[in-house]
Amino acid sequence: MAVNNVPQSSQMMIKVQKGLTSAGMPNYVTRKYSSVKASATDADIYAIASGIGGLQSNALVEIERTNISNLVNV
Amino acid sequence: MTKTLEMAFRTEGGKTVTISVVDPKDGLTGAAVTTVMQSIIDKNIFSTTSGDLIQIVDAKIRVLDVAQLA
Repeated sequence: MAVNNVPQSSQMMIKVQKGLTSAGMPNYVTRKYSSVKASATDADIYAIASGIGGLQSNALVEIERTNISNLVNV
Repeated sequence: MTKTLEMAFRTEGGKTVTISVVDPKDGLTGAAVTTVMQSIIDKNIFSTTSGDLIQIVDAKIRVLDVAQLA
């Protein structure tokens, strides 16, 4: 039995800081972009996330990538 | 009041798809936005049901103003 990892799609999340919470902690907000190709390279996703981050007014904190795969038994 | 930058692209299949950015910077120029839009087309990271994003259509900022009445 061999289990294959078959990529389906990826998601890109841009985490920004939008001011402070009422308790004075950083207020983090994540902007999620689904429908990213599973075949997109990390470098390309990073570049686009940085570009998009630069168009908005909040401080860019983190760029996340989520990959979604099917596990198939062959 | 909330502001959203809406970047519209044409897909291979002829449909228009929008990628949105909440809280756009003040003083954003068309040139800055089209530079990012062109790199989105060139790097081709997004998938749609009607194919790849192939062309810039336009970019707009949508402003939502809410007045509470009661």
